[in-house]
Amino acid sequence: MSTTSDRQLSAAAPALDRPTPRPPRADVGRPRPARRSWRLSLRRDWQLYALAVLPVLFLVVFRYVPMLGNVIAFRQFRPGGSIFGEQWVGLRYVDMFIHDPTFWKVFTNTVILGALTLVVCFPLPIVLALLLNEVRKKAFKRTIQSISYLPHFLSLVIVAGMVMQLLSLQGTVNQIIEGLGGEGIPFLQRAEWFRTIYVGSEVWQTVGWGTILYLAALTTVDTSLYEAARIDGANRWRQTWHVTIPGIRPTMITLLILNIGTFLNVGFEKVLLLYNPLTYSTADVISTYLYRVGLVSNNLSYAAAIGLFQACIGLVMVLSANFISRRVVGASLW
Amino acid sequence: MIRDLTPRGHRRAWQRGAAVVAATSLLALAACSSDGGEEDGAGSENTEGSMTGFAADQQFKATEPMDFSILWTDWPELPIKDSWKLFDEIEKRTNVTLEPTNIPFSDATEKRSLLISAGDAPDIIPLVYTGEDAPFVSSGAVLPMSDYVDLMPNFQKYVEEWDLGEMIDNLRQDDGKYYMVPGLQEVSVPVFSMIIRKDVFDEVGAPVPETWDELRSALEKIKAEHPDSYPLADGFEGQSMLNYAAHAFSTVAGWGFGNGTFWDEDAGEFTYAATSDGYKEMVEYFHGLVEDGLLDPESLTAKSDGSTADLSEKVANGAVFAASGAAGTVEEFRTALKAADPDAEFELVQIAPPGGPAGQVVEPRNFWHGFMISAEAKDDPHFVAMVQFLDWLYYSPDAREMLRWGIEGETYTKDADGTITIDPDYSLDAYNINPDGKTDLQKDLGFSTFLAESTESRALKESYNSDQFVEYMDTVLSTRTPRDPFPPAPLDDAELEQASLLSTPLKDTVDTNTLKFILGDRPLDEWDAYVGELEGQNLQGYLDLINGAQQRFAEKN
Amino acid sequence: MVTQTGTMLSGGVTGGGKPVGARDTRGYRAFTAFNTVGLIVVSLFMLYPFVTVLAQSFSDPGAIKAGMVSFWPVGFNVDTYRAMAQDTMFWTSYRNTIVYTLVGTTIAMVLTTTFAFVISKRHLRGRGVLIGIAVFTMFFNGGLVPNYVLISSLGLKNTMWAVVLPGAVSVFNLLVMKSFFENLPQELEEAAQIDGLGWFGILGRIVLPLSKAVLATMVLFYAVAYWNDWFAAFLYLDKNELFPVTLFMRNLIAGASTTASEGAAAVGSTTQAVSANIQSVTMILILVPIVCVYPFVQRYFVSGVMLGSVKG
Repeated sequence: MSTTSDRQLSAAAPALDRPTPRPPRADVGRPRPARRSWRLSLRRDWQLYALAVLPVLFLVVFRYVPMLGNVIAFRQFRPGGSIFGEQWVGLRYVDMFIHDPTFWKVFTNTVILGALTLVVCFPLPIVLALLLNEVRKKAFKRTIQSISYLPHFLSLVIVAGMVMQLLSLQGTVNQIIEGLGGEGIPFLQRAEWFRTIYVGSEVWQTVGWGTILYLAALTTVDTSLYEAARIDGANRWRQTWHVTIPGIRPTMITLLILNIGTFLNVGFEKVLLLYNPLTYSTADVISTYLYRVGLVSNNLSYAAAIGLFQACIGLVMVLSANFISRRVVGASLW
Repeated sequence: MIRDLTPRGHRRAWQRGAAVVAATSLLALAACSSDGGEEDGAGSENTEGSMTGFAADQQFKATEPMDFSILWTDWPELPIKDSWKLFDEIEKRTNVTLEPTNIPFSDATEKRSLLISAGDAPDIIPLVYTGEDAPFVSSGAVLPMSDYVDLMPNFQKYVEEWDLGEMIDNLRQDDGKYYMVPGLQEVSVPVFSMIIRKDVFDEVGAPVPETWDELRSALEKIKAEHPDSYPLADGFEGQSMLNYAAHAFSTVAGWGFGNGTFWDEDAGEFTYAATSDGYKEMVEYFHGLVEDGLLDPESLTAKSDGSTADLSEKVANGAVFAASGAAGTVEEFRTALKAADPDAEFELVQIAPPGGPAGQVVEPRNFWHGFMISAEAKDDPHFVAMVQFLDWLYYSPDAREMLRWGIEGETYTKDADGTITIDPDYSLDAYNINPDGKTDLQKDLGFSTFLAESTESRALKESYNSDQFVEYMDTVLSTRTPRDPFPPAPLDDAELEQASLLSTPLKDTVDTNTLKFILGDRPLDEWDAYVGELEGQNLQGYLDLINGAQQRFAEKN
Repeated sequence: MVTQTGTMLSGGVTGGGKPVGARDTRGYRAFTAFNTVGLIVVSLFMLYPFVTVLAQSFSDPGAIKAGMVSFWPVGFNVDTYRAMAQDTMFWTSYRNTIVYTLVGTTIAMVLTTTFAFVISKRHLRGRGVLIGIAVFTMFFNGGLVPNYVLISSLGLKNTMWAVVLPGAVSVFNLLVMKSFFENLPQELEEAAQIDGLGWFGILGRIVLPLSKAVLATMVLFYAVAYWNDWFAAFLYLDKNELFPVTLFMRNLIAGASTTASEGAAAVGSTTQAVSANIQSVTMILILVPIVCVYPFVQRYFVSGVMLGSVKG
């Protein structure tokens, strides 16, 4: 009995406990085995390689070919001239943003907003998914689920409009505050409130949608494991902790690593709609700053240089997160 | 936080920032170092299909049928429909078929900029405001139209008749040429001004304010009567009010801030508007209003979603009695007031911008949007015909009337003294003309769309606007003086790059502190500290840049 | 052996993942009560804006301007709905959206599923390279102009493919799917291989049937992404007949705020307010179909695995 349940438990989280095989290295100085293993691989897995051809072709054509356009970060671009720029200028644009004090201010804001969003918005869908999981009546569960992801569909302009209405001096929030005896606060005019407002509205808009993936993941957890745990005397909380959460751990880790990699993608349009000069000190992010600079001079090269900088950071973040995850938890994206 | 964002989302974020071209006038104009290979008037040999002896006020008719591609901006509620007669009418009169390339209004400048940058722009690019040709000059993506004005008799005639020659010269880039041809306006009045509830002003015995000080006393009286209200509000984050107020204080602000410089005639150089005494006086004035509860502080940061819903709500509920707006805003307020209380009696009047220490000064005379022509068009054998066609379309009175009103005898009638009356079967809902008409000139037939706006004679302008607007125009023209325009200071590529990186932080500081001072978040005695902050951001370097460009241009031309 | 496990596996148990509790303790019942109340409160928060938009879509434009509409319509009318129903352009763009979504989701699912399957095989030589190829594209892209030139040179401008192809592979979705595939029990595949099934067969007969939940989720994600996308259409299309309805809505809603923010120059006589009523009607018409997709998708959230069936 115990062997089967052990086996079942280990089978439930197979990927996590098995060591991730290292990708085979090209063996320098030992050509014969390398060639043999390639031929072997092709023979054994030709079907897999065949399946991969179309997607890789797609990626090359639609993602890698346009990437060549990034070269304008190092060449001077004139709108209407060659799309690859007119002449090499080397690191001029990189220099430009490195020495621009405003750039570093907005960079800091972007990092802070991105990190806050990550920290707050990552765990909440998990919590909501688990809570939804506890609901017995299917109809109720379905209704709540469907309602919870509605905000995802609202256009940002509408969301921003509603936020502004809610937080205005005559809005609901201030009415509550004044009802409790306090003084109305012009939230949108105070730089120290912006981060809260931004993250709060992010939570509202994304938490419901985020549960979908976790709910899908929950279905893959083997129900007989719950049986086994119950027989072993675990209550619902224990079951959740020892069965459910490890069951969705691969999904959590994948999402965490991916979100760490993209944390600098603070929503341009939302900030643009919610900020104003009084809140520039906390609200201004890289993309909105570039937008204002772009209003004066359509300098795509400058934007490209900054874009490359952001991309490098993202890549480094993903690689590090992946590495740390592999070492600490034993699971990673690759 | 699951984002099923494709890389698009990331790309969109910073690219959107970089790909926008400014839409306000008086921006730093980029110069064009003479890009070799173009003789003046190249393309003038492509005369196929053109009219010989084409003269002003004459109907243009191409001698053979031809088509041109045109960039067409789709306004949200005005898509091109099958029922549209606009293009058919143009074809009938001129033998020219227009092929529209549709772009949505919401992101029109971005898309246009993309098309030009990618070399894929249509022949004719309309809806171009002054200064928007600047980024494309150095690459030669658009044609220097100043080389082709000899092909445009209507344009020449009306520039002369309406005394716009000097303003045209101010459009020139560093190489002395201009690349867009603007829309000419016989009379130019500020579009945005102040709208007041005249009935409330009358109630407290306040006359229509002619100066900001008079406005203040009126507001105080109103506040005494309605203590829970904020009598004055802006609806455009303060940018509109600061714009039309600034001229009365000898400065520029808000939408009119431009590159931040102000021409000092006596000193013969540009100074920075935001550090001047006039600017300070203006800020002090508005601060005074906020302190006394006369100006709604929230309206200075509330984002307008175009329909100024928040503001019209306040107007409808009697919380605000004066606000910034244009003729269309008057309509909005009217509908809101009527909806809130169908029996209410009120009078909404758009008044001329109040005067101030500088006198009764308003913004300088303005051009309206015009057009550019793509560089490849010069190789089209029908090129000369194209220029003549555009000249007719944009500047001849017949075309202007057709674009606005449609077909004489069918959709409108014109009597001996030139008064235009719409045919009873037709309506022009946008201007509240004959709302009972079955067919709308604009939505169903395509007239009175954006092409109709660019060039207007005074008579034409008055023909479709409300009486109140005509009154407004008359008041402004008779009692207000437009400020003289600034001398041009076009920048070349390298200077433009520098200028954008210098001016943005400066403008941010100005915007932030203007609001802080007005709202009282920062005491006015810190003004000198604020000036010091600007100087610390290399203000002098920026001014030197602009002044250098101005002197260079003045010497060359 | 494959067929035996096959039948047992594809049966599945619905409402997967719910812990089995022998007895509900008092603590648990209290928790359930709090949970229910909390979830209801949360959903009210989520629901409120929709109620407002729905109410606005049936209201009088003047009333909306006057800020009178919050929960209930004021001046109830279906004029705008009726006007929309008669507008052929609206239906053309609606049809476009549906076509783009269907075609796009199909292509995206084929590409993503096959690639995710391939890279989920740990033994595969060159797997790291393949994953790297995908991940790299998440960060680096060329920008608007190079992408536009690419699509234009491929001759795809003003065709459906310009809207459908560029977004067809989301690396995010790809990696999530890969992680699901990796967590399927290896024994089943090994058993199938011993039975002589190649990788194509394993994908089709073993993996896909077991992955209904993640496949359904990805179909939902892609469908929603395509449905809501206006940007690709904005970039690559310039003929009215090809525009999807979301571009039309973007123009309506964002166009209104562009008017105001562009300042004096951009306004002229066209400051007529875009009727708030049209905005909300369009939003509702665009929202309703896609929101209804989820309940269909939910049916597939079944547990595909019953491990008790796997014997030594």
